[in-house]
Amino acid sequence: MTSALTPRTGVSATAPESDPRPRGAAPGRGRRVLVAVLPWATTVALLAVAEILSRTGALPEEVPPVTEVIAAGWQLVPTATFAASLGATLAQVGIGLLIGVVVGVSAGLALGAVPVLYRLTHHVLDFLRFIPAVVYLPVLVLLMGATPRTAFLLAALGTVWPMLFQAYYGVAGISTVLADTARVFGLRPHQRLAHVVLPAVSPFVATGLRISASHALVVVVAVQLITAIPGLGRDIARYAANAVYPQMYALVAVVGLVGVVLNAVLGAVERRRLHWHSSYRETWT
Amino acid sequence: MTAAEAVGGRGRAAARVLVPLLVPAAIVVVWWFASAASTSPYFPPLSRILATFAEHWLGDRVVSDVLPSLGRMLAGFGAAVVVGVGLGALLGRLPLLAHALNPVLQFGRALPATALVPVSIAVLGIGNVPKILLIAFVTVFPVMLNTIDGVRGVDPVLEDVTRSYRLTRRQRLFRVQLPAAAPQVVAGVRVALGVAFVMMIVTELIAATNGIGFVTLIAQQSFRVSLMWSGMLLLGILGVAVNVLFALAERRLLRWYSHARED
Repeated sequence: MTSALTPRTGVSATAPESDPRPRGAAPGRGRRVLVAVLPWATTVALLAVAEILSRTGALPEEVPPVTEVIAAGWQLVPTATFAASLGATLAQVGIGLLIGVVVGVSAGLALGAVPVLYRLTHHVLDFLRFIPAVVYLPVLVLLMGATPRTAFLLAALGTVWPMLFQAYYGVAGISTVLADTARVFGLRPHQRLAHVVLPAVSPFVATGLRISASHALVVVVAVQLITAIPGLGRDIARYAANAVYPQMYALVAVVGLVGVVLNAVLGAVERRRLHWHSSYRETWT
Repeated sequence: MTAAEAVGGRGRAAARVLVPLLVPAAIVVVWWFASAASTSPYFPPLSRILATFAEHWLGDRVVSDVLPSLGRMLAGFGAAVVVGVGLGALLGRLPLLAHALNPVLQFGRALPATALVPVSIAVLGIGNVPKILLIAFVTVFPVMLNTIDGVRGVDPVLEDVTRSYRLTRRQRLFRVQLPAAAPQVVAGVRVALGVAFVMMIVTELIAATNGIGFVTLIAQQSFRVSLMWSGMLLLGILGVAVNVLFALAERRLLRWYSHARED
């Protein structure tokens, strides 16, 4: 950085941004309220702009006004069809996650506990982890047809690799001092699993779960779109095919909200685990 | 392994390389021989899958399907990286604007990308451009949000130093802020790459006319099982190759960072 000492010619270039506060904003409580309201006010304003743009015909016909989308959603959400599709989607994601977590975590723990196993298989695992779950879609449809089973098995395939590697990293990261201490104190294997291994692994698993859940949702929606398995993805595809656009967008928004809620819930779980983890570390080292 | 260790020195070194190759080799060998006499319509012999692979995926389909698939993915992904880093750096410098847009950005990131495929077909139609735009749109969020976080997380002391040394805004951005944010930016780009690859496949499974995913799905629907398996094999190999290339690029790009951390 030879130019570091060259004097700057423009004088006022950085003056405004040295203070991150907006000019004219009231300090103290008023500012805090403003800052809290701002994101939602902006969101509403953006939706209003979209509304005006589509009402005035600036947007293509395929983008209906926001109010029409909201109205369509309002009508759609209380129906039994919607409840069935939402339930089917959540069930497919949930079952897939459950299978992926159980299989992935147990395999990861085994690999962490038996180093030979890891050495023997890590090339295969490193290969398989990079193959996205949708790649398996054709063969699963071929073997099992367009059934919900295909959807949750694909979701499980998307879940199993992150879980396996997270669990493995968790076990591999256990300090030898901790492991030896547990052994010296005569903890039995099941006690070591419950009091040493699982607590050490749980924050890693929590992170893996958050990553996997969004994978699983992406995969399940894709399967529903492509194979017409019951679910929100299938409904979106049907409304799109019949050019019923307000309903299509309403369902896309619902799927987005499912993603947001899933993220928020699992993010909160992860923070709790991590919080616990860091305090644990501070006590021990 | 214990026997190999007893040999010591060279034997141990050889074992370190060979032992991890045992299982991959065994899988291929078992697959080859177990499927050799297969008459199952679902599981053709591996030899036939590989022959189909060579005939299709190393033949005409390179130009008609493989390159269009990869081209769409790279075009969308490349655009997303440029736009995502640009917007992310901007929003990282304008915290209030980033705060104002936060719900929109978080929604964009959490929305499962595949749900937008019918929307993109409805609004933009089919063909290359809609697919590229969709891939770019869904991959821009992880890049942008990570860049915002990275730029915002630059050490305030470093910021003060660059200011008192009177670096220009441009110098601060390219010499200090973006390099400091690079580890997080790269993490976002890695997520984006995974999403781009999935979207490359999924956009070809719905209302498409060419591409690896398209050929593979049509092969399944028309019961050309060897072609389906060979397409899956190609997608698997590409998925691994893309990630390996990215890991190499990442190591080069962030070499200074891992050095700095070791010190």
